[in-house]
Amino acid sequence: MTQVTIERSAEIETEEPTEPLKVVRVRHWGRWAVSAVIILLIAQFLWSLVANEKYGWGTFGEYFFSDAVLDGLLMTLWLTVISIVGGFIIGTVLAVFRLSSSTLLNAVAWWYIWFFRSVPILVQVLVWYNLGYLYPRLGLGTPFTDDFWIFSFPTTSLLTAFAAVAIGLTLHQAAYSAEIIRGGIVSVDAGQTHAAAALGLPRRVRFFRIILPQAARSILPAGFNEIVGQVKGTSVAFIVALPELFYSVQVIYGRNQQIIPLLLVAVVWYAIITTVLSVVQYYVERRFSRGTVDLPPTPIYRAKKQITDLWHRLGEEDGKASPAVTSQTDTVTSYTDKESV
Amino acid sequence: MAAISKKQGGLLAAVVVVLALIAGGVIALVNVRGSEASAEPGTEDSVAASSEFDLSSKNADGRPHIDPVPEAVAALKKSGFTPVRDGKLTVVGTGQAGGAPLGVLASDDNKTRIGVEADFAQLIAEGLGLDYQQAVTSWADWPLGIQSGKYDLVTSNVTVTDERKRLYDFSSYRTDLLGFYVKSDSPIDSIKDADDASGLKIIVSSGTNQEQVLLTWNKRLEKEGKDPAELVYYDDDSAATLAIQSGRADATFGPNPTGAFKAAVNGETKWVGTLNGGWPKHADIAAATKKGNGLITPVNIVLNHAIENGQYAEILKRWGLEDEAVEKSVINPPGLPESES
Amino acid sequence: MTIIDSNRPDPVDDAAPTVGKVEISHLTKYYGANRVLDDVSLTVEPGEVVSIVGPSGSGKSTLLRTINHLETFDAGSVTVDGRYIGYERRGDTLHELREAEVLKRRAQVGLVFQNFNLFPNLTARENITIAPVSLKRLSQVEADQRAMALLQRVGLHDSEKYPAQLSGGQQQRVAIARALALDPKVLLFDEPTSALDPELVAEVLDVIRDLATVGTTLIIVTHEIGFAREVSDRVVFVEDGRIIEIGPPEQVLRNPINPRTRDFIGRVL
Repeated sequence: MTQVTIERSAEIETEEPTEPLKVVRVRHWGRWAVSAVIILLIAQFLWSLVANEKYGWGTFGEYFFSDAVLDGLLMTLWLTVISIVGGFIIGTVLAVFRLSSSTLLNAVAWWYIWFFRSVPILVQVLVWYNLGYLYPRLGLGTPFTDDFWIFSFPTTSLLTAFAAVAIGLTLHQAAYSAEIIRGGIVSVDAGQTHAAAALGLPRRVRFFRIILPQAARSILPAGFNEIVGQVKGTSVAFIVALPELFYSVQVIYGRNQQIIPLLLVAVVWYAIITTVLSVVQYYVERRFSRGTVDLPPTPIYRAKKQITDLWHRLGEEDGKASPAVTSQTDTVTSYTDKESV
Repeated sequence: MAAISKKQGGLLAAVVVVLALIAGGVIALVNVRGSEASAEPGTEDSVAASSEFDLSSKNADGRPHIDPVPEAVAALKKSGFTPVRDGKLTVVGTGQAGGAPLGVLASDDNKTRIGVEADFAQLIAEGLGLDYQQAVTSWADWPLGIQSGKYDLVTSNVTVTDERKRLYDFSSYRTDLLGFYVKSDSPIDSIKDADDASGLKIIVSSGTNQEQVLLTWNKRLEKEGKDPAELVYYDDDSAATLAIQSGRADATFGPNPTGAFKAAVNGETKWVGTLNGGWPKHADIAAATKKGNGLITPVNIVLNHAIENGQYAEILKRWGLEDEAVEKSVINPPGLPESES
Repeated sequence: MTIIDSNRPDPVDDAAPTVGKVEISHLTKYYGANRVLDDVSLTVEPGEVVSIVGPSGSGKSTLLRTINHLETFDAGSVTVDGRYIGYERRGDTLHELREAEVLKRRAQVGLVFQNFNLFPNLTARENITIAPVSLKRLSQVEADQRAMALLQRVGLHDSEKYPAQLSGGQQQRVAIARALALDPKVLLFDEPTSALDPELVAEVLDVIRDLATVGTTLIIVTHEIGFAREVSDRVVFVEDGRIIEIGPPEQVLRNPINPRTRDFIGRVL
């Protein structure tokens, strides 16, 4: 002990401990109280789910796996896949245009993104579906005229409801994806491009093997956000009466008036999709984090560790009973003479 | 590991309690299910039982038929009208929430549009000597679809208004009957005039005849120094239905057929009054086509032929809408004036 | 512009290398209105080791990067073994080449960066094999074998580690191996030890020292005056985009003729 400490707290802390000092953690009584209230509220809510017959779980059960709902679900997934895959492909091209040194390409991409971020998706789908209102015939003819056609066909027969929604969602998604991908590419250190160029790597290799995998780390979280959003975003298909999940559910409650149970059917399916996507996201992100020193442990591992830690800590606070504790106190007490007690 | 500490024991006990609660909840759920027995409201069977209508696709087989009306066929030929699809009359309507008994998708295939509006669609097509081609879309889409020539005709509870008459030709086939509905346990048992509506929150669609009725009532109430009714506008039918069921509004005021259907199907609402759709002016439901395309005269001939020969009355009777019969189908009848707002 | 270019020593090796001659003549480059290279001329013989020293912002790195056409220039010429990297000469003008052709020609000049710039998403081995494989020089199997040999040569054994799992010195050694994988005629070093902790500098310099003895042409931009003196055949002192003095290390680094060189050496030593 130095003199400084003696001066600072002479009475208590300089006393030689007569036995191993016990460490008492700060008790967070407030936290415990709040936690108890929250648990109570959650329990109450869960109970109401069961006890409140307005939730109509019987109706829920009847429709959850009904053909109409499953067909709708399939339509939703199909639209999501098309628009996300198509959107990210077009988006990648747009992002590359945006980063290109060509003023024209840059401007084209900028205006594309501006346009499709400005137009509500609902309006876009409606316009695609009714393209015949604006352009009654499409085909090949003399430019800037509409009376001479080499061949043409009526527009109304061109775009089905499905095509209108798929095109609308894809073009819409492309604008958002482009910005996400551009953000990812910009976040990659410029030195990477220099190094790849210095090695003489072809442009394609440079982009797909070097830049994109690194950009993916910042693209993925935002990208999965888009996918999850798009699953629900496909419900704009109602405007052209395309039976995706949400529309199918609406049609059913139009008949039987069981609004809440059928909305729950949709909600639970959306929750299932989101859950699956979240798990996929977690592992895909881990895959692209390769090369960073410490991969965070998986949630399963973390949960296991938290439980074991809690178990040990509870034992420790209690005193001597747990062997894990004795070994810890050993290191503390090794400086004092146990026999002197 | 050796002995378990007190706190570790506490944790174990807590876990056991939580598990027991969950198990108890599940058992309670099963019991609740059991006591409710099989008569869960909202299943397709119970809908069939609680309403007089068959909402399966078989319903379409029971539609009244009509032979081609020679005058109508001749008028169609003379008019120069060419249908979207050769030899077929494409008639569009909605099939979403709030549709029955006007237009819903059949409970067994989710594709066949059934209801009084679908019956009229087929009747008109047959009378013109064309095959009936069904089309289903959203309320927002039919106007563009008619104008872009995607559909020939719409029968979807479309009210004739002066604004719409600029874009479409109409041939009337029903008069509007409006109904007041309240929550089934509401103390309100009758809404017949302005005094009954005083101080109530009433759900109504904007830009409709029923809104005009309430606005007129409110003027009178305010003049007499009484509380006016508060108008609540919902764009979405299910939101309106939920608002009534959750007590957020006191009454709905809208087309009587759908209101009656909802009350019959789930018993959550009850009828408290009907108002003639002509109050204070006349409101007609009519089939609409693109203005000036020549189709409306043949359609009008068919409708009047059906009125004279009984098929018309048969259709209304099938859906319990005898009160809404018109004596004569009129081309472009007087419409609701443009709203002042 | 004075070029003090006396006493160019003969290459060290007995079997004198025949490839890797770099000729820079009357090179000028602007960044906007700022002239960063000002009529620079320098010839580096095959197998020669040349260090470029000078204060920060003097244009050393820019000069180095014009050699493999990572930087373009406004006037003058740079050739490797008589060929332009990024241009084709027609009459008195240089026409910029298409990218694919530039990439092909650039592969004969290796570049090692101050910040290593290893690809973090690839292992050490993949960092080395990506260029020879994607340029179709070697099959993946051949490239893997070569990568192992190169890693051994720079004193590394764990080929499957990612860059982030390596120390700075190890990363820079992988970067050198990566540059060597294409068998470049000329190897450029852009301050290869500046980003390293002091205790890691030696291991990288050892590798470069080895390379200096085997006859590859090396051009090194460095702050390590002692090292430059030890390995270089000639030292170039650059300031304000101009070559101020050039000659054997003993001359430039110990007894500079030009007062500005003397001033600089006095400050850094």
